[in-house]
Amino acid sequence: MSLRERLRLGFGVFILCIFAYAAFDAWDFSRRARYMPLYVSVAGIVLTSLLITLDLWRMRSTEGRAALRTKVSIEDLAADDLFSPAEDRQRFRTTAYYLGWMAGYAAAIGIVGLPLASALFLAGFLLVEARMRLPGVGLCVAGMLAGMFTLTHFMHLRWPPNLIGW
Amino acid sequence: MFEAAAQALGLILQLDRLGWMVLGCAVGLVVGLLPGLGGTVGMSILLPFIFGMDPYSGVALLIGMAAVIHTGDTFPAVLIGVPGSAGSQATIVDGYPLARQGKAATALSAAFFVSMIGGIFGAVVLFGTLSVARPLVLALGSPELFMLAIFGLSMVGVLSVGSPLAGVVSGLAGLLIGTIGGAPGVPVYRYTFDWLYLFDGIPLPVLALGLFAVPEMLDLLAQRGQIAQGAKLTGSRLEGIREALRHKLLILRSAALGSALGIIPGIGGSVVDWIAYGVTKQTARDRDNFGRGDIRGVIGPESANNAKEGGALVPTLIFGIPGSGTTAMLLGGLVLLGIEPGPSMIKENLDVTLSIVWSLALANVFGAVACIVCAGWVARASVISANRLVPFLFIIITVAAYQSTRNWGDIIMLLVIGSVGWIMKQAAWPRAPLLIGFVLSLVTERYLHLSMSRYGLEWLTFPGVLIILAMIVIALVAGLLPDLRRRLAQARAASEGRS
Repeated sequence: MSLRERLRLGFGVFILCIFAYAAFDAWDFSRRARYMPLYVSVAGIVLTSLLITLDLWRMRSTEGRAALRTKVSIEDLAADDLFSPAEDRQRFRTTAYYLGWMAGYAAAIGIVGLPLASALFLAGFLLVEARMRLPGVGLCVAGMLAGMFTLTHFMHLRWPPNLIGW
Repeated sequence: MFEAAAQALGLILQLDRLGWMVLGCAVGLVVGLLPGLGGTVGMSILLPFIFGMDPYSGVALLIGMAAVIHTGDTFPAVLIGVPGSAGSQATIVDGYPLARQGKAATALSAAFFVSMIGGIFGAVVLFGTLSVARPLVLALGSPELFMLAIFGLSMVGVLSVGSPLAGVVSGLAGLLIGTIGGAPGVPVYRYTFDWLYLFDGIPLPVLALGLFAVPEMLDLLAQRGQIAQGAKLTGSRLEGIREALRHKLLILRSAALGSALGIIPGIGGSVVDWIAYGVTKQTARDRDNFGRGDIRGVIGPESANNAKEGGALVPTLIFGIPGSGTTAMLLGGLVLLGIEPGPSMIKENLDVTLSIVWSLALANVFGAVACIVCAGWVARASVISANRLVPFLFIIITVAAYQSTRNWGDIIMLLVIGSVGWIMKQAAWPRAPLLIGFVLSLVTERYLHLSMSRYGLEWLTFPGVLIILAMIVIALVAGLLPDLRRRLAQARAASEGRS
């Protein structure tokens, strides 16, 4: 079973657990608040179980596997991007790395505030990942900060609070 | 009426009022361009400035902004696969793949051109229905509104034809996520885990940005590429307009659909574009290219979402019933200008109402021309390498997401939903149905609750309900049957090949 197939099944099981928890929790709500989440969850449990069973059945044959990989989602370009298992693993690792950059940026906002965190994130990313030269990076950071302050002023945007209070 | 319309045109064509309208258009385009910011943000920016203005100038400013939001929001939808506002969610389904093929300019100019036609159509509908819309709107009760929400939900199956079951499960997950927070009509908070942020539910911009923007950015970075995969821009602005002109009937049909749905208060702009997309796909003879860069998938929703604005103004002006946050703030703006929305809008204040109609039509023309002129240059953003473009985009969407409730939860949820969206994309779980389910969850529950408590099960026999039910069945059969036939034929051919 490929990484993507495991991911698809794993996500199905995850959704199934969510529906099961939602149905269980819905019993504690008052009657009027209960019916929508309860009915949706029960329908979700039944259909997700069916979907997982069908997926497992399809994955037994080569044609079924191909169908799963190419026709499942009409709006995803991922359907066109077929990778080998090794490429898939590498791609997932790279994605986790970039997700780390994003989480790091969010954490930095919480510590040093939006403008400084944005400047650090942009400068770091452009230097390390895009390998831009320092003058170009400085120009990008200055432009971004100018845009951020201008939009904040005219659109009354708010910035998240942070630990050092900037 | 026509004489009054000519007088209103004269009023709105005065240079200072045109200037206010252009300023409103500029604000609307910028707000539309920034993902996550919608009409309510635009209105909140402009409202403080209308104090002391004459009603025609104030109306030109506000309507100029509201009219072009759904024109400007096409840029991020096509270029980075991120809905600029709730009304451009369906545009990404085919617009983004076109950008990936290097045809961003074609997709954008086609979208802007049909947005202009749709917007003008909406203005004509507003003008034509001012005196006759009252009985139509009053005829729709909670059962009919519930059925219209179900009509929107039925698009879930159409949008995931490759695996309708996964689409339905995804849609159910969206419905469930939509129940987070306060229940309608009763003081119960559901699935909040005592986290104050969840008491009002997950905001739509955060969910949309997380589901669509973050996964695209992560994939672009992981591929180390650019949005246009071929790194070459082949489409042109003229080609986009030519493509749009080839589908005149589709433009008019989608605009009519958008205006009609816009008149119904409470259904909201987020649903109109999905319904328009679904109908466009269902009524097309060859559907194989939908979802992979079919220009019709851009033309349908874009024509409808601008036309919807004209329709949405009908209940807002005639009854003072706002159908969305934007029209609610517009109502506030009218009151600030000394105008009382309601029946007086077609009697004492007819000149103001007609100036609204003209502002709507002219703003759509200004907005579309400005966007078409810029489309070629902005489309070049799609050949910038991902590791130079994405950090800017991520800063923008983080700031935009935070504006939803101005709570740290927005940023946390953006990352969490972004990760889930990326997994869904890799695991080939359709994401669009989840968004539709979420958008329609509150409306569905509210109107079902009202229908059941007022009519019991009797509402199921109402003529309006039965008509909409028939429309749903026809739409589903028309949408799913040809694909079912094709799949059966493929399976038969495969089994014959084996034997």
